[in-house]
Amino acid sequence: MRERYTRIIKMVLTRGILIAALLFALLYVPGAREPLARTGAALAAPFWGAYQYVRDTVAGMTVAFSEKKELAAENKALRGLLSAAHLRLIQTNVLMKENEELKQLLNRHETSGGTLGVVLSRPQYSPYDTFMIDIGRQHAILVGHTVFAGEALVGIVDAVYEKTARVKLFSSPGTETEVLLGLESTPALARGLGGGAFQVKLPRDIAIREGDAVFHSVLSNTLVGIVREIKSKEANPLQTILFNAPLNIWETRFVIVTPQFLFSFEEITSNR
Amino acid sequence: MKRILINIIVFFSILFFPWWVAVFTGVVAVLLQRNFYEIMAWGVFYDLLYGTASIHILGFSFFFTAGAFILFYGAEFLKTRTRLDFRH
Repeated sequence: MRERYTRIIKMVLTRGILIAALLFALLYVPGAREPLARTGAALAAPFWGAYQYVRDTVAGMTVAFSEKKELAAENKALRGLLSAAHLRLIQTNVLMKENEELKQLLNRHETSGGTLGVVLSRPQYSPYDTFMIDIGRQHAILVGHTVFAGEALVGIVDAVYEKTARVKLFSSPGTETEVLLGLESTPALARGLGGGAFQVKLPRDIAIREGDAVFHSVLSNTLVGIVREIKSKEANPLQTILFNAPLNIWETRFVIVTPQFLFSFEEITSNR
Repeated sequence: MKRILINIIVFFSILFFPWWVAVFTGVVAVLLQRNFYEIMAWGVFYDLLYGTASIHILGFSFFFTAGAFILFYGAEFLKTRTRLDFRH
């Protein structure tokens, strides 16, 4: 019996030391995490690419089996939407041109250009609120570049590999982002709740309404979310404002990575 | 052969399914396969693939790795104490 317990204790100690050594290496040895993460991404990327290809091919094939009538009706509806969108585009182009001219007059220039990336793994695949995209170092992507989905700013590039990169969403649990809310552009600190959701606490007397836009404080006029719900109680001097990214993060297929930095290199690397 | 198949299922669940499906698959794999050490490697793989150092608690960011270790040793302990020992 005594020998059995001694053997068990030795086994537990040996395994415990090995586990502790592995975790210590991963956490504190500089440069240990990066090559392993790069290998993991290189291993997973071909499978994600194959999945996207199969999914797109199957989607294309199933369209051929749709009822002709349904297709005609859908076609008509879409043509109507397209005409309306075309008119709005003309109006928007005029406004954007005027905006650009005014900003140039004030000597403020916007950084333009961006690289289109395909989302390989969706945020719901991990609770870390990160996803992988199919562009990397080969496409001049750097850590810290900003990531847009549609018109909304959704996150920054967190890690870059040769052909892929990992994007960390601003809505990652615990992440704090400086934003401007509502018509008065009230500055606030938004805390990520995960899955594209954010929370802000402000004094109750600040007027915020459901549907108000939320912009990033650094990149002004860059949409981050739309106010969804406001919670306030009589006894509490603060109101809790919940807002979401304006699009369904979990269905996002394409993103634009722009060569803009929200943080300094020291701020990004200090979290590593 | 069975072990290889279980590993392939765990790998694909990590890549193509929500995280809770991967966790469930890992739990089933550990229960079905004796001494399924690979679950700890998959935990590390998961954290390296999806995790980021900026999401941490007191500097520790390998949550799925820690979970895999706890799952493995907890399951092995339970198997010796209960009838949950498939002896494969």
